[in-house]
Amino acid sequence: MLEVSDLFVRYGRIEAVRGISLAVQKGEIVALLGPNGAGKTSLISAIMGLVPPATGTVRFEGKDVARLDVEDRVRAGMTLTPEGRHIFSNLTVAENLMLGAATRKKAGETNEDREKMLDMFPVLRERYRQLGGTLSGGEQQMLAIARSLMCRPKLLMLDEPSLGLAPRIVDQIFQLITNLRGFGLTILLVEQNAHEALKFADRAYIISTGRIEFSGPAQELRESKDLMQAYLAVDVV
Amino acid sequence: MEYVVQQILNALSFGAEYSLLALGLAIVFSIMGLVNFAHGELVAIGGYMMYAMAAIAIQSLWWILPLAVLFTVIAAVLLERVAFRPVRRAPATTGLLTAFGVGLILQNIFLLTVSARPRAVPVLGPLNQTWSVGPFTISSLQVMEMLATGVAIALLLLFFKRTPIGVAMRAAAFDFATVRLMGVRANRVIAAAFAVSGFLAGIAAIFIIARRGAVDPLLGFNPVLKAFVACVLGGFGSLPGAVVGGFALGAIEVLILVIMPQHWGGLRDAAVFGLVGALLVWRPQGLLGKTVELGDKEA
Amino acid sequence: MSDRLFAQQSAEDWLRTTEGRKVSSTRSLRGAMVLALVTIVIGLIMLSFGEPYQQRLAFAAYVNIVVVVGLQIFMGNSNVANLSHAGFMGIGAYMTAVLSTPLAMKAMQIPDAPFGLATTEYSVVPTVFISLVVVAVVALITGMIVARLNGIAATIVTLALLIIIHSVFEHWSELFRGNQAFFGIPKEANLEWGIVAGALAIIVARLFKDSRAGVQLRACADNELAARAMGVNVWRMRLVAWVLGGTICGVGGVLFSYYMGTINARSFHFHQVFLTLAMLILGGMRTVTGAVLGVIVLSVGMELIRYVEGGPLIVGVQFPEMLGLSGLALGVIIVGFMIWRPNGLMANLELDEALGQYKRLGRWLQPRSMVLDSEGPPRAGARDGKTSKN
Repeated sequence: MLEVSDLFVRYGRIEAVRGISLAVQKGEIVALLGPNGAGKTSLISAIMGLVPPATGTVRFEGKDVARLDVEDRVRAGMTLTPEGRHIFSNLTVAENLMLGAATRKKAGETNEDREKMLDMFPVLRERYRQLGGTLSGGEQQMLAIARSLMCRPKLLMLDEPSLGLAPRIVDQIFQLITNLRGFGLTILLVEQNAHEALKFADRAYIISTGRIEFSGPAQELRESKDLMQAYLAVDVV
Repeated sequence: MEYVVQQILNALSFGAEYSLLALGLAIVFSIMGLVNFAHGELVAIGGYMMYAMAAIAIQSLWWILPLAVLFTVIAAVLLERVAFRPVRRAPATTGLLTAFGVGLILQNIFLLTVSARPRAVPVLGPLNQTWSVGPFTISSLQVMEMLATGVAIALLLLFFKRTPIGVAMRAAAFDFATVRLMGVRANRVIAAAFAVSGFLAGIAAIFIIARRGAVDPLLGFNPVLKAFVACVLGGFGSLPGAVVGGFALGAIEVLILVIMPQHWGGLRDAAVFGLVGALLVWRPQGLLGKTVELGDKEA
Repeated sequence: MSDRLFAQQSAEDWLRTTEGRKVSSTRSLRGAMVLALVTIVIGLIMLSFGEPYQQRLAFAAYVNIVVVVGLQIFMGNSNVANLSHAGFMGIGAYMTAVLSTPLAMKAMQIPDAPFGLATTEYSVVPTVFISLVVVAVVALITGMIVARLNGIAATIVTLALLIIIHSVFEHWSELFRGNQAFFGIPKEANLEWGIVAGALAIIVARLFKDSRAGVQLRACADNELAARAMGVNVWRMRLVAWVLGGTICGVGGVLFSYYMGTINARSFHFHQVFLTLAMLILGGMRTVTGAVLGVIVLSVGMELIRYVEGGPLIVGVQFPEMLGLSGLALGVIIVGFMIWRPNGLMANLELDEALGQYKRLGRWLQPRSMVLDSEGPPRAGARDGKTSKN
C-alpha cells in the first residue's frame, strides 16, 4: 500500500533522513521505532508531505505522491495524527471533528461517522461543545485520532500517540489502536515506547541517525535482547 | 448636548470605518502572516469601479453598490493569486514589502489610466443626507455606516461559526499546517481570507467615497494607514482586537479634535499616532493582543 | 518546523562568530575601503568630466547613497522594514535650514520662529553638529518605542512616525514654513561633500555590520529566541542600529539642504521613502554593497524612466506624457525582486567578498584563511570537519 524508497530529508545542512526505504502492506500494523532524534518524525512528515523530501520516492497504492501537496495526499487516503496532537484548541470538539471531515462530501455519511467516533470515544461526547484546549492530554489524543478517522483514511499514521500521557491512558490508547485494525485500517505507528508498540504490531523498523537499522517481524524484535537494548534502551528482564 | 451627541456619532462612524478595514487586514494577517499594505488600493479599486459604472450610465445604487463590492472581492482574490502567492512562504518582511510594491503599482496604474486628480462620483450623493431625529440633526451616512459595520461583523461571526470554510479559517489562524493535514486546501483558505477582506474593503469603499464624493489614486492610503494603527493598537492579528482597535482609534481621534486648539487641526494625525505610540510603550502587544512568549508553540 | 530547526542552527553559528571568530575590524575596514574607493572613483569621474546637470544628478545619487546606507544599517541588520528614514532625512534638512539661513531671509520667511532662531544664524560646523544632535535625539526617543516592538508592529509604527514628522513640517509654520518651500539656505555643499559623506557612511555601516552589535543583531533577526537565550540584548542592539542609521539619514538631509538651497516637506515624504526602499531592495539589503549598488542602478534607471515619462520625442515620434510611470517602475522593481530575488542583486556578498573569490586580491582582502560562504553564516561543520546532528 505504501512504498518509500531511498528517501532523504535535509534541514539546511542537517540530514535527518538518509536513504530510507520501507513498505507497508494493506491491513498491517507497522511500528517505526528508534531513539529520540533518529529521524522518525521527519520520515513520516516527508511521507505525508509536511516537509519536502530532498530525494526519493513515496508511492501510495501504486501512485507516486512525492510531489503532491499535503491536502492531496489526505484526499488520496493517507492521514497523520501528528506528534503533540495539534488539536485546534480555539475550536470546539464538534468543530475539530467537522474539520476532520473536510474532504467528505456527503453530510449523511459524515454524521454517521461522527456518531461512530462518539461511540468509540464516549468522553468526546461529554465534551462535545467544549473548546479543544480545555481537554486533558489523553482526551486530546483521542480527539486527534477521531479527527484523523473522520476523513475515512486507508492509511493512518500515528506519531507518538503515547507521548506525555499517564500509563493508564497509554494502555487505553493502545487498546483503541488495536481495535482500529477491525475497521480494515492500515496503520504506521511511530513510537518511542517500543515495549507497548511491539505488543500488537505485525512488523517493525528500527531507525537510528536517519537510517534503518533493523526490519522484521515484531515477534523477532521482541525476542532479541541485543536489538532492544542497543537501539530502544528497553530493559529486557 | 447636540454637540456631544454629534461627536459621539463622529467617533462611532470613524471607528466603524477603521474597524471594517482593520478586520480585513487582520483576517489576512492571522491566516497567512501577510501585512497587506495594498489593502487601501482595494478600496480605491472599489471607488474607481463605482466611478466607471456611473460613467457607463448605471445610475441605480441597487446595481452599483453590490457590483462594486463584488469587483473588490474579485480584485482581492486576483491580487493574492498574482502577487502574494509567490511570496507566501517568504518571511513576513518580504511579504510586507511586496504588498507595498503592489500598492505602489496600483496607485500608479490609476494615475496613468485615469488621472492624478480626483474624479467626482455624484451617484452616491443620495446616501449622504441629513436626518432630523427629534432635536438632533444627524448624517444618514454615519448611521448607515454604523449599521453596515454591525451587519458585516454579525455576518462574519456567522460565517466563522457556521460554514466549514469559516471554521477552517479560524483553525488556520491557529495552526495552518494541521488544517492542511485535514485535507483542507491551503489555496482555498487563503483565497477565502482575501475574499472576505475584499468584501470588507468594498463596503468601506462605499462609505469613504460617499463621504468624499470623489475618487483619487491615493484614496485608500490614509484610511488604511489608520486601520493599520488600529490593528497595532488592538493587537496585531486578533480579529476582536481589530474591531476594538478601530473603535478606540475613532474615539481617540474625535477626543483629540475636541481637546486640541483649532489652529493645530492639521496635527490631528500626528497627535493620534503619537498617542498610540505612547500606548504601545505601555502595552507593546496592543490592547487585546496576548503576550507571545518566544518559544511558545507557534501556530 | 523545518524552517525553525534551520534558523536555530544558523543563529547559533552567527553567535559563535561573535565569540570564536569575530570578523576582524581590519578586514572589515579593508572591505569597506574597497567599496568606498569605487564610489569615490565614480565621483571623481563625474567631477572631472560631468556636465553640470550630470553633476547635479550625481549629487542627488550621493545623498541617496548616504540615506540608503543609513537605512541599511537598521533594516539590513535587524530585518525590520523601516519606512520613516525619509523623515529623519527631513529633520536633518530642516534643521540645517532653520539654523543656517541668513537673517534677512529668516526675517522674510520665519519671523516668528521660536527658540530665538529668527535672530540667530549659525555657520557650517555648528549647524551640522546641532542638526545631527537633534536627529539623534529624535531617533533615540522614537527608537525606544520601535525597538520594543516586533517585526510588523515596528514597521507600522515607523510608518506612523513618518506621518508625524511630515505633519509637523507642514503644520509648524512658524518654524518650518508649513507647506511652502523654505529657501535661501546657503549653498555650502558641492559634489565633493557628497562623495566624502557617501564614503564615510559606507565605512561606518560596514564597521557596524561586522561589529559585535551588528553580528548580534543579525543573529536576532535569524532567530530571536536562540539569540536571547545566548544573552543578546535585542532591544539595545536594535536601538543602537536605529539611532546610528537615523543619524546617517540625517546627514543625507543636511547635505541635501546645503546643496539645494531650497527645500520642501514633500521631498521627505512617501516618494523618497519608496525610491530609497526600492534602491535598497534592488541592491540587496543584507549588505552595504547592495545598498550602494541599488542607488547607482536606480539613479540611472529612474533618469531614463523620467525621460520617457515626460513624453519624449524619439526618432520623430512624439510620445505622450505618462505620469506615474516612474512610480509604476518602482513598484514593479520592488515586487519583482521580492518574488524572484528577495535578497537583491548582491544577496549576501559584499563587494570585497565577491572580489575575494579572485585569488590574489582575496589574499590581501582576507589576511586569515577565512572560509567564504555565500550562503551566509560560516559552516558549523567546517571547523570540526564533519556535520552531525547529535
